[in-house]
Amino acid sequence: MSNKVKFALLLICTIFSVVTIIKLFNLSEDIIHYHNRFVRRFPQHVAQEIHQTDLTYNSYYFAGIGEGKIYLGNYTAPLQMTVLDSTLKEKKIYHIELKEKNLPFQAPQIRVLGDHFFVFEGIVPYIFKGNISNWKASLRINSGYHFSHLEPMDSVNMAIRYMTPKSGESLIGTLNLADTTKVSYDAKLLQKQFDGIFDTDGSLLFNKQFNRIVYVYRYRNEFIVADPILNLDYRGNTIDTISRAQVRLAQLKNNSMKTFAEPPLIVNKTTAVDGNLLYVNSLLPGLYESENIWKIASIVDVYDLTDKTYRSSFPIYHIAGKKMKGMLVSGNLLYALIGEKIVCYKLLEHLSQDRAVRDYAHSIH
Amino acid sequence: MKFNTQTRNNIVSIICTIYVVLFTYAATSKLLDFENFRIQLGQSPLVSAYASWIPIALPTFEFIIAILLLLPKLRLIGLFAAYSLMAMFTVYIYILLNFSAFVPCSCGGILENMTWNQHLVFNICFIILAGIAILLMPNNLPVNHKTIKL
Repeated sequence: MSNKVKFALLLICTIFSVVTIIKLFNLSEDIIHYHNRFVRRFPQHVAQEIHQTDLTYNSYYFAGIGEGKIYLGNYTAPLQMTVLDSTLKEKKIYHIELKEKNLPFQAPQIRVLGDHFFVFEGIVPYIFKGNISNWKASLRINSGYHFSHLEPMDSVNMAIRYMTPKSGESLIGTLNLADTTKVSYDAKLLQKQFDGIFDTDGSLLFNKQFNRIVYVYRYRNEFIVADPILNLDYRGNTIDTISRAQVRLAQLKNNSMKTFAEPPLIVNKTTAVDGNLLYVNSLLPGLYESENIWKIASIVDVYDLTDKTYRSSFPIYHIAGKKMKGMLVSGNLLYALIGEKIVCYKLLEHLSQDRAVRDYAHSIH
Repeated sequence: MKFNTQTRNNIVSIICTIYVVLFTYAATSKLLDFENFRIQLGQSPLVSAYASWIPIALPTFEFIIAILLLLPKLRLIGLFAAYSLMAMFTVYIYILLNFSAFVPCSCGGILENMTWNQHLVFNICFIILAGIAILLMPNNLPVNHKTIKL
């Protein structure tokens, strides 16, 4: 073999190597972002804890966020409103005053949007509305269908998950507080798989920036994006492979109640939405992941709502063995309720994983 | 540069030995900590979608190349294969550093302490070594064997 032939072969080997790797890279990018076979991506350090505060009790939930304030409701003190600043240092407590007091209150919940807040209970049903300047609310709705979820879309329009009379199946709909004749719902948005109650369970969100209702199923790998008049934009999929709810129910004897025959397979536990990104706390480990991370942290998957793609995942660490039970995202800050604590994580831009790492150099360092 | 056949053979042998040691070490350390290696590859932005078969294919190739390099008759093929694998790894690191959305933490074993840039230089050195060995390989094996015997 002459040196000429050797050089030629070396050149061929070089070209072959370069082309192979570039091809692999392009295909890998394509598979990861568009046809995921359930492999998560954990970029380093995309979410870092920057604040933590002890709330003393573990009964808080997120009622809303806006203008640098975080609003917390409390299940055991239903009319108490706790307001934290964005650094979680300052805490103010308000007591909500309801004008009408003769309702069968059991477990009222609160939502805050802009200057308004809403106190509601879907099983009665009632909805109060008030202004956060004085925390006084008056009754707006005290009749109509029962509902199980409510998210305000603006000061009068609410996204609602109704319960159909008798069957109790869930429906996504809307409600206008100023004009109750404008109740509407779409029976086709939620898709029944076997009972229409458990299999369609999930979390209702409203995306302010895009003016869209987002519903994430709890027991299957799907989320729904619809506009405020209930036109379906699309159905997207979370990265896991559970397309059918795996819930087995058992009828209790001498009782119309149903209960779980075995623990259900929860796919998407808590969710949050902000801007073009959807955040989902999934409970299903993917391929090639260290099991240890699942023992010490809740895993949040990030999806881009504009192109239905999976972007990346990051851990929110347990505190004293307690898992995250609620989260809220605003811009690059993620707030999570974990046990008696509330934490704030800073999210770095490269969690959306759409540019080369060197383009992010300014945001990392 | 003109070397006599003996020197050329020695240089080629040394380079081949270095490669055999490197590949055997790399493949063994991967297999010894296979689960970890598989997880790391799954996290690697370039190959995460192929993380099912690459973790097995890579050490297998490394062992095969090491064997090829040990057999005098197959040594040239082994050197071309080693050269190609090293070139692929180098392109991989280059893409990782320049085009990928994030850089995974590290690889295993003694190479763990290297930064990706040092790794890039390390790899390029090995590519050059393989190139040198290929060019220094006796041009006609059977004839060379005879000359050595004489």
